[in-house]
Amino acid sequence: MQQLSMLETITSFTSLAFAAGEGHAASAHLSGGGGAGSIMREAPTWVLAIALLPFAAFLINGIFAALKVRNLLPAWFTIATLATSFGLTLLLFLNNFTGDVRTPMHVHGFEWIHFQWGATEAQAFVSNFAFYIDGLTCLWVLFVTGLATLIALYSSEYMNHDVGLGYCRFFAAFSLFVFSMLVLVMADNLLLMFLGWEGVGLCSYLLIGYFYKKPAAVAAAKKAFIINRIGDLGLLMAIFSAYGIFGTVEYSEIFTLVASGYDAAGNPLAVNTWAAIVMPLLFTCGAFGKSAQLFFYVWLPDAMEGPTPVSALIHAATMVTAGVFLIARLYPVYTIDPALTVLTIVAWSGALTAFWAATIEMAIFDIKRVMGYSTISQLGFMFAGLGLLSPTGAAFHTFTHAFFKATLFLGVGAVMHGFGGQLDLRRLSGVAWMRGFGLVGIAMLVGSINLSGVPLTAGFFSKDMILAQGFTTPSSMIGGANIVAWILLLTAGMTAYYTFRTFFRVYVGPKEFTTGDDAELLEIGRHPMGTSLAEWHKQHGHGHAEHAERSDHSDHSGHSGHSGHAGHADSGHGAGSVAERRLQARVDFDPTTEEFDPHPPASR
Amino acid sequence: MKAAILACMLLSIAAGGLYFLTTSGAGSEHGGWVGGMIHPSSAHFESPHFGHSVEHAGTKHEAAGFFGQDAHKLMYYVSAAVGLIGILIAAILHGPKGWQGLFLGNRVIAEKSRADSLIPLFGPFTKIARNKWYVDEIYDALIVKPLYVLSHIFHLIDQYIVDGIVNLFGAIPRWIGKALRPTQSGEIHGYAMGMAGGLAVLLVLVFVLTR
Repeated sequence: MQQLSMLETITSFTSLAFAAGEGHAASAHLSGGGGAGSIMREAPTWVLAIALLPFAAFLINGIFAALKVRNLLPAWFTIATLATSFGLTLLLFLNNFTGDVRTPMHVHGFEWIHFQWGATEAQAFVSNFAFYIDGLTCLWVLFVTGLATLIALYSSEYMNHDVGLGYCRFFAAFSLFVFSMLVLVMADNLLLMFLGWEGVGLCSYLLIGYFYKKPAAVAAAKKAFIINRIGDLGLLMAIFSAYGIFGTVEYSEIFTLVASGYDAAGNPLAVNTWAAIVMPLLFTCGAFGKSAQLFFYVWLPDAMEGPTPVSALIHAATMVTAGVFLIARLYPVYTIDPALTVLTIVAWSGALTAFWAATIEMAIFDIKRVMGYSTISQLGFMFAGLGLLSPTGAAFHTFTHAFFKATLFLGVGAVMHGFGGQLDLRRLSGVAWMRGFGLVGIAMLVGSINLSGVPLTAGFFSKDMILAQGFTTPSSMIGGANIVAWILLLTAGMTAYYTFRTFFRVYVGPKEFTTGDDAELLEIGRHPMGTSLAEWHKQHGHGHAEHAERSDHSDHSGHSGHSGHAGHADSGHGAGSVAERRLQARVDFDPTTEEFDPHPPASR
Repeated sequence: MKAAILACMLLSIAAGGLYFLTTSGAGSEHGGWVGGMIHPSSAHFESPHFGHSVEHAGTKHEAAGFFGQDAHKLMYYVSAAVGLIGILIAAILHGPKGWQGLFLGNRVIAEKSRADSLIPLFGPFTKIARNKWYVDEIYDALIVKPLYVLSHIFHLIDQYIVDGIVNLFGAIPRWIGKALRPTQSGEIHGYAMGMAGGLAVLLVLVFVLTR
């Protein structure tokens, strides 16, 4: 009842504000233009399984945890499920998005939310669990399921020092993430999209804080969650506004109304400042939070505290591109404004983010954080692409970036695993020439040339499409489009420099290394590629001892990047002692002799 | 792990190859196969105000292009050159001696490279960039600390003023009870006195009210 009356309040407010007291007219008769949603194809029901299979994997991983499974079963189960999901996506893609007809598809699951406060159809709020699949969705689903399968395969070995409860927890959160991400991109309405949006935020929090005994990881998880909430506030307000203006949260109806140029009450949209500028700005706020743009980006470098496969999947390839997806999905809404004000803001902010992050990357030494800032920088390129009226370029760059950045992260993860968590590029050299690391070296080279934009690589084509569009878009449409393009071109040069700075320092050159201080990884004592660290110490005289004295005089700047390792050794101890103290406090309490006081003295 | 890295790497090559194949053929769409997917979707730029797409139609507009040339053609060469220059600078500054550093570098140990000698050129900027422009510290000073102080103030308000009012209402009966407690001393004389006094007050009240 309370929710109903709240909705009524919202509706009456919105009809006052936007509809001049007319209430909500049915939107069907207003479909004048040929909007994106006017012709819809019915998708087969099995399309629902693409998203629901990972959810099933999440539940079953929970059961594995309850059964205390202590082997690789959760990993193999997750991989099989995600691979099936990817197979279904490929089927969907090949059947429906390769021919001549590429109109959006729709599949209805079940009615999710239905509030009715009057007799007419307009006096209801409906949100279905239904999917709206067009080329944009299909592109995203392809790389989300494809990369998730590969990264789950990688994680099955990367995380196997934690087989048991932690392993189940990791794969449960991993599957839940994939489900949320798929709901985010496939949803047919804004509210269901928001469910996925919050779901990926939650899983990001759970997985950054996976090493919950490490204070740096816990702090990073909290930071990511809080900063995302600030962006999500904007997104939530944007969804309220969209409902107020269009009287619906369904994409196809919104697109029809935007194409007609009138809102649900029949008033022109373009002159409505709230619809043309404020609402897209609020959507942009949500997108900036999730995609780590200025000035929301600070959580992403810290998120590198999570396990590397998580960084590869969530914080490089998929979740952080949700903002790009949101703007691309709602592109019609962004073009309501004839002056394209919000897209101009998006273009400028994207270019400045790209440049800003690139300056940091050129100076820091932590190779995983270089990749983290590089992701922020590349996301800046994507946002600039959206702002420069090249959504194709932005989507294409998202797609190629997902693959090469995942490759780079997986390579960094292999190095980190092999050298006891060492991430300082001044402590590693010639890694590619060490036994077992040849493939990692080649993979890093491939990833690096893509990121740098060497001709004929995927990264080259996608970045080029955005840059060229920047010089093509007239300044009369996007203010200062050419300046934005120049900033991006400069940043492209800086990108090539910092990428190959890491490559030339770490992967080639004289063979030399100092192991990190991640005790857990050192205990395993094995390179991911099959050579044990102890063997290495025997084969190569220069290991720990030679470089031990070198590590102290360069600590002033080098370790500013990763405070996590410094705090690692005593963090476990600290957590233990807190738990001990709690236990002690409970043991001290004796119910037979002392009276239980529910209010401690301090609150009196 | 090996297989996953390999597959990821091959996919990143395949994405480029696929694009190249779909754009290089005659009559291919702009944006290759990705363009073919995005154009019919909601992300295609087409607005009622402009009537047509600006994307890949730049030559129709004034003030477009790169030094008067078609940006979409020229940018292939420009961005390729920019990328290669970036790589060359990295090779000079960080590359090891010999072919691995493309014969441009001179690094012999992991820790030091030629780039270190350039640090003084940038003055304080290297240090500032290395510390991430102190954004975390600025946020800490501008947002986190003030919020922390504010929440402490609210905590004190809650503890002393809000809780104080609640506790006051609890304390008033206690004070009254404390004040009246000595009268319940168990002395019969005292109770008789009280009874007599109360009776007297009642009588006076009845007398006054019924007059």
